[in-house]
Amino acid sequence: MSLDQTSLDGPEIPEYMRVRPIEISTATMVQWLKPEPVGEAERSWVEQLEPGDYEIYDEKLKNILDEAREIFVRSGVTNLLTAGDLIVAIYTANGDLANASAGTYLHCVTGCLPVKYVMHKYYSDPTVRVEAGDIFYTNEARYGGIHNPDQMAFMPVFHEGELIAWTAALAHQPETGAIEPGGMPILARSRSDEGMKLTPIKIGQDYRIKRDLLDMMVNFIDRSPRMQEIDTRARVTGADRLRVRVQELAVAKGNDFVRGLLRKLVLEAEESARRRIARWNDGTYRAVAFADTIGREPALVRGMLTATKRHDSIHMDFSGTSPENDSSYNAFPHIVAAHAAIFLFAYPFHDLPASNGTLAPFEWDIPEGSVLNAAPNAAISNSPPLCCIVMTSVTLALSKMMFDSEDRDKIGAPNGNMGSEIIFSGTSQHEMPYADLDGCTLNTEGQGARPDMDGVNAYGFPWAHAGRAPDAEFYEDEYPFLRLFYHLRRDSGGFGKWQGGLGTETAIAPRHVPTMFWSSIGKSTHISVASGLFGGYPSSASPGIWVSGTDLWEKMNRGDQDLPEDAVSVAADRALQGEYLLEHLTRLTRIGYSGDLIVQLAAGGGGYGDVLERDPDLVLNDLKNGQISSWTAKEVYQIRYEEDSLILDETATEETRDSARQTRLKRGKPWDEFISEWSKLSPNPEALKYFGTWPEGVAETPVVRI
Amino acid sequence: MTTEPNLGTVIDIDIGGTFTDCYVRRATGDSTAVKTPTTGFRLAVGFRQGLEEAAKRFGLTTSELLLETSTIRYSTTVAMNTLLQRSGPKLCLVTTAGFEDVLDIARGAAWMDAAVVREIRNVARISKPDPLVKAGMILGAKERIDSFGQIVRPLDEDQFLTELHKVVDRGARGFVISLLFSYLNPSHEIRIRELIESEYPDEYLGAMPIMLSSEVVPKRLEYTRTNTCILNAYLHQSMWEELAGMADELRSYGYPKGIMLVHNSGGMAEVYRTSAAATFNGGPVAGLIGGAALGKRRGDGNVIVTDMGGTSFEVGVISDGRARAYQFRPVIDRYWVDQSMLEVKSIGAGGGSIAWLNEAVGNRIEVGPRSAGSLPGPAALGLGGTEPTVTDADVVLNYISPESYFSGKAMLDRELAYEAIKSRIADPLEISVEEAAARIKRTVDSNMADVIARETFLRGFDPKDFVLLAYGGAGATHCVGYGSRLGIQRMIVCPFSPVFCAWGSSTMPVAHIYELSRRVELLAAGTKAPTAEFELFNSVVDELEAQARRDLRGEGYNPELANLRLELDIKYGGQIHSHRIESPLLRLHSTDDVMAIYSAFEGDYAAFFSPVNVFPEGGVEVHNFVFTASMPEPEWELQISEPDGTTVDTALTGERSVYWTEAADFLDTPIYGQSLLKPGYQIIGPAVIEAEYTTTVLDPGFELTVDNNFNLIIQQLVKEPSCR
Repeated sequence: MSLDQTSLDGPEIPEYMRVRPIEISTATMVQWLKPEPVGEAERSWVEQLEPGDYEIYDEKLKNILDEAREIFVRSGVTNLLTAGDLIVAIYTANGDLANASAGTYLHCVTGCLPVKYVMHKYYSDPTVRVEAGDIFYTNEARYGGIHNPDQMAFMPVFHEGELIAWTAALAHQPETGAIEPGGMPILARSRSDEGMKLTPIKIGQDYRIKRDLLDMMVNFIDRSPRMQEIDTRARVTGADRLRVRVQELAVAKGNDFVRGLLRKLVLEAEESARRRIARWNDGTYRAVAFADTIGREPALVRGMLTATKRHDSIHMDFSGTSPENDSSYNAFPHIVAAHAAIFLFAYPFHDLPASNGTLAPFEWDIPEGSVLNAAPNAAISNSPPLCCIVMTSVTLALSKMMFDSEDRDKIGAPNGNMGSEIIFSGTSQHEMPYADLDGCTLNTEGQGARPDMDGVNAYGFPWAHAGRAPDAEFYEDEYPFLRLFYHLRRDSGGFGKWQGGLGTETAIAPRHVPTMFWSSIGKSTHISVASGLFGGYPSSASPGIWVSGTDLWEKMNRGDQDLPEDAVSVAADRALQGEYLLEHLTRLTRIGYSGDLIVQLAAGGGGYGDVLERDPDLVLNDLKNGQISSWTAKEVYQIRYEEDSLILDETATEETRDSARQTRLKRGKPWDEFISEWSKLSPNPEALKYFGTWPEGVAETPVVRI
Repeated sequence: MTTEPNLGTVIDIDIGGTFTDCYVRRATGDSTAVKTPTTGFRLAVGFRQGLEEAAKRFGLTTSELLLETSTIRYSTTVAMNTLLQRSGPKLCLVTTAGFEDVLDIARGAAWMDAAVVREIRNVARISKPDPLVKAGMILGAKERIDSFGQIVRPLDEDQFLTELHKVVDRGARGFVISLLFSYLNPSHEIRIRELIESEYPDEYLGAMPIMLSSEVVPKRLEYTRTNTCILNAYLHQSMWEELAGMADELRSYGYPKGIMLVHNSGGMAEVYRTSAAATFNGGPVAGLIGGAALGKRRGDGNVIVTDMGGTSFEVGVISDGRARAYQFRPVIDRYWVDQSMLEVKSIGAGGGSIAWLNEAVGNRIEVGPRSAGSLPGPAALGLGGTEPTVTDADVVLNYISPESYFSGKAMLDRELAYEAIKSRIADPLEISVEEAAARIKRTVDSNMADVIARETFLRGFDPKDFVLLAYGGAGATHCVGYGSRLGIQRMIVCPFSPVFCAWGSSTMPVAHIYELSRRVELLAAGTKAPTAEFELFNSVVDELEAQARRDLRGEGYNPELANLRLELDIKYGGQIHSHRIESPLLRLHSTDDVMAIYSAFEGDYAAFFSPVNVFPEGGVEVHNFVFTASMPEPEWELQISEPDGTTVDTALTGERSVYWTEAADFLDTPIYGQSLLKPGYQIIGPAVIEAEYTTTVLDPGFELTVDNNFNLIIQQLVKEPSCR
């Protein structure tokens, strides 16, 4: 018998399982975010639901999702499970997301696209097929993902021979076998540098993971093989737990009931989102945000959003965004939508199902060739750090849109949006190979201020909100370093009538082993991405600090009093011997020797409203608590107080603030005059290397990738 | 209803948020259950009222009752009340310098702790728990110990003393010392205590509590260790004051003995052996232990215990006769602690839970988590409540009789309940009030069934393999509703269900629990070779056992009679979270012993998660040792009787029109008095059984039999009968 790869006719696909055909490309996958059309059969299943079924069984699905998430989180390895960079989800048979328990709402977008791809491409392909007991797996952005550290296991749910749903479990994993450790290689210039990328493939049949394919993955991820092995199993376990429960529901209530319920959730999500949008003012709302790095070098990259709201839909136009480049800081349109979802599901639509139906009212217009719609061969492993410009601009534009509505309590200034982390690898004090990241800064950024209160200090991880930062003792017990300090960062929150929450700062020093490899990711070193809202200040800038060849251990051993206890004292007092380097927070992989000191900062959130309107008592309270400096109290908030007792001088404060207002008025000028002067300004040309033309942001030279 | 030969009268008290439950059992076998309103301003008042009422029922004065009493067991909400009022002392926290913000950082998203999903998703409105130690009262000591317990930086005593004087000047009235890796090397914490004591002896500022994290909870992870220690210091004073007040009250009646306090770990101990945090949620845990005891006596090893009260619904799981699961993320108030608290899951679903329409998602009916509480309470109570509650639905459907609710002590107004449901639910949905009420009941029953399912599945079990025990004020009314959805074959309502948690404490042993973090590599990564470091493992157990024996002996118990149990928190190498199992062995003597422990872990782990997750190749590590020493359980007997030849008709007290979902209509339904039911009686649903504090609802298709201990056993009939 000879090889035969000619196409064969597969089974005919029933209407409820069909996926709208699209041209498969990185630029068009976002189209599958729209829910699939509802056919006659599906409509009748929805209508057959009895009064009360929807609320009762939606609640049941939520409990099922919670159960699966708990199993997933508790059985995995990666710290990103603790950070909440995960999702467990239930989809209709044709891949629409019915509901999810999401640590991050990114994956409310990324999950359904691979499922639709499998249904579109493989269901009828006799060489693949979709059968009960199959286990599919993917981590490829071209097929709907965000970047390849995000690995997803997904399983079809069959009952009585019929496909009724899909389930999935996805979590970020900080190692992909790329040219650098950590899964997000800063030096990657094309997709070939980024390590393992699996298109949606079947890695298991008959409810078993195929050993050969698992070995293949472990082989790809040989910097951290144990993590790959355990977390692949954990993902499959999470997806399978969901599958079992959905199947049980089908046994109890029938296939039509399950299919009707899942579709009803998608429909209800869309209708609810449209009702909410309809109550906001029609108009055009603009926002801009800047990133200051493309990873391997500092650079100014602009994200520009023009959101036009008409009745119950919103057109999201990112024209004016900087062009793509040859770093790994690029994205595709569905990645942009995913980063918008982070704000949408946590703020305006926090009470709606985590379904792609909720996103149906949005149209996405992202210019090809821009950094947010890069060529298919672009490296995109750092698309999440890049898409801070999406997170900020969406937050700003929609907060303005909702301000004059009954949904004002659902807005806020941008969160830190920095994604600050040290990535480390090597052999641990327990003689185990490891590659992981420091969740201490990653999960402790400041929240943006709200219309009626300050942002929360160290609130979490802006990409996943509910990020948990592990304890210092956890890391030191597992990995070979000692943490010198771990603090809230004074003055890091954006100032305003309501102040952005503070971020944190930490310093680690390799210990117990001669060396470790480390790099770091972050931004807002030169310009903060966490802008203020309605006059609020952005959060503070955040440099990286590295001191090599220190006498740290000797000083500790001697009990010296002058050891630094925060980032400012490291850089300013220089009590440690060694070579000091103040640099961008994004740093390439280097070797850290025992006693070297690596300082990493996490961003605060943006401020809200005018600083001169902040209650002076709140300012003094922040000063007493060490959250702001006396300079900030006097120069930014313009309050006056008695230095020793910190008692407010109300009269002097009022006079100072009046004077500040008068100074502002004097600075004021007519609009045309302002524009005329403003338009003549330009950033340092060095910063514009990857910006595109100034000020248009249009590509000047084509990107060549090898 | 229980008898305990050769002992005096036993009094069990459970102070809950709404009611203080009192269960009294005399040596004669007579018993009574009393519910009185909880007096939050001073818990001793409600306690005394309960005793007075119980004594009156026996024809005794309170003094006479207490004079014949041998034991008083007590589960209290003092800790919670103090927290709610934030009325604890001004504390100073001593941390390692550089880590003073441990409470503010709070592992990042501490705003999730104790929040429900609905709150967690609403990021625009989040807030973190307000630290119990304020800024300015946190002192960073210049010192450092590493992850092997080695001193990297010696304690700077001069700096510490300088800072100490400042915080005392700011009004510190107690100290919590929680340094990094103190669980491996407590020397710096101990030295700091010495410095405080020498600088501020008792005669200077009076006794101030000094708590060391290495003594309170010598376990890895500084955030939860610090929180646990702070809570104990914060609650210490108020708990002592409350208990002293109670002891004074009892002494004035002539009761000279001490009070045993119920612990959330499943045991109890004298007051002076009790940390404040150990009393949190003691009542529900007593119910769990009571469920295990009752199940064991009945031959039911697998029991799901459910407590539906006024504001919440609580679920616990007993497997093989034991409550095994501890809370994975134990949270007290809003503070994540490190304490082995038996798992009793709570959701906002009680009689007072408010039904509402969720306009955001198409006006669907939701129930809870908001509750009308005891004030204003359900609309039917007539205390100003206008929002419909589960109790209002039960009244409209006629499950609960307005006249006999709570023994007639709290008259309900059906019209008010009807109006609340009509205006808030039925009219907006354009459905009848009865249908709206039925949908409220259906929704809350389903929510409770879902949480039972989740909690059972999460432990690797299937609810179908369990019997369901229902108690609490509304448990009997709704148990058929939520139990039948899970395919549970048998549901039990016991005669003392309104005070079941108080009764449960009468079955609890004296027990102490000791915990310590030590890293022991059970199987080597890669090779899976069993450890040969028996001595390291055994020395930890030796240390914990010696402590247990010393404490038991100090309390006057014979440690030789104690039951010793070792539990281990184990994980595969690299994993973040560990999984707790009961060790089959107390000590290691051979590699076979190591493999026996690993096998126990693997079996439990595979059942809990999945066999797919088993991965010994990654290495297997023990991280925490949990050692429990418990004295034999107290003896108790249930009241027993045999069928006397009378028929169930003698218990019939009337008939009323009750709504049944199956018929979608009101049907004439027989009403029985629970106190008139006798062993052997059988009732076929639909029926309603009324007792002093509860109403049992028996749906069509179910039968109820009364067993020899007066328990009501509810089972689904094999054949579905038609509604009458």
